[in-house]
Amino acid sequence: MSLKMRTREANGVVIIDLSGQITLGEAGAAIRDEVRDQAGHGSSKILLNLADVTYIDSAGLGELTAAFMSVKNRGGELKLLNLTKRVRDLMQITKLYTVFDVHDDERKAIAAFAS
Amino acid sequence: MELSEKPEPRQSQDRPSACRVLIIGYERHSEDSLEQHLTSLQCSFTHAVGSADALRQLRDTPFAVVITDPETSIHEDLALVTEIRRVRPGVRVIVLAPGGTPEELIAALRQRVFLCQVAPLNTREIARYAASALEANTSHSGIEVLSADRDWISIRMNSDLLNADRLTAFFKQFRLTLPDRPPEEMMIAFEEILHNAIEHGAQNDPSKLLEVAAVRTKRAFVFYISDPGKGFRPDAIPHAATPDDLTRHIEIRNKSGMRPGGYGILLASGIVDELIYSEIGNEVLLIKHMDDSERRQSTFEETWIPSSGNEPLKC
Repeated sequence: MSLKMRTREANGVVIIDLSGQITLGEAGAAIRDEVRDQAGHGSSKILLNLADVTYIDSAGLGELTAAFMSVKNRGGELKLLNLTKRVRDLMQITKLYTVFDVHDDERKAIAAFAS
Repeated sequence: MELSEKPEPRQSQDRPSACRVLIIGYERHSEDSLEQHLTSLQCSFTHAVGSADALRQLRDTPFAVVITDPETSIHEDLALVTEIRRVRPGVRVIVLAPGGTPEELIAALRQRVFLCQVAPLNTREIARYAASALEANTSHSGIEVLSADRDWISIRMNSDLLNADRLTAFFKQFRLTLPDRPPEEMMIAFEEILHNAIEHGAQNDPSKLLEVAAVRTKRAFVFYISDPGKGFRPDAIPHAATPDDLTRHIEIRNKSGMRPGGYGILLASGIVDELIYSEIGNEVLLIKHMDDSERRQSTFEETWIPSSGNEPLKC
């Protein structure tokens, strides 16, 4: 699979570090499963770190938004951290940046959950 | 990139030879070498020191994929492809070359090579394509050139995502050979709409055919895509995002058992200047106007190409 994930925790926030490509296929499903799994285990604060995401397409954007909606519908929050240029550009074209809370600094992102 | 001093043919892991990749040229040892990326993808490979050695090995062994020497020209490689096909008609060939003209790239497409890439090469991406070539279904012919010159290319293709990936890779390379190249993001719009044609128009059925054309005029760059589906009304698809509501369709897709998505048309229409569907909706034109400023500079940088994340391989 072209996407790797590593999950860690800081101050009650589950941080999922994503590395590789989020495109049509297995990668998107893997994010969906991981977020659902974390939310199912009671995690209501999830931060997706996209610093090493080299490629994303519209299916990948759909996966991010579906994950956001899934967590939100359970009363939780999902935020994005460290958008690469490609992700940022696609977010701007589609205006999805208006949906997500996006951060460039992990410490500040974690603090944003508390507020 | 370092070259081995003794270019002895070497075999990687034990695997049936039919699953192997034959790499022509010297073995590379750097971390970003093709060999390293193939190994990480668990693809086994063997080296041939040149064309003659490659043909000799192919006579003895049914390799599935051949990757040509990045130091030989497309012209030389295509002559070799003809020889290779005499020995092993079904082998998939990835052509690597130090450079290429639009006509050479078209010739490679006509000759149905699996992929043609010119320097600077992205070894990670080439390894990914080689892995795809190993797994590719050979029952469909893939991509057929109906008519092509540098201003008008017409293609017929079996409708699957690998062909879409290969055709997009071709147009990305072709674009780079043009003096007044369309912006890179046009390729993103093309790929998104092509994926829609495959998924929704052809129902992911690789036996169904799509027709694609790319036309370059003095003032615009145009893609045309036709699928065999029943069509749709672009203003009445509840499973796609609209500028007014970016998330409502996610619930609709979820309830209908569709995968998350629905941003393809929104994304494409945000990139091109005109996105025009036919009355039925199974044909679409993507038009990007090419004024002088757009010809000089794309909105986005070349880093948009997924293959650009690595150090280029200088040939």
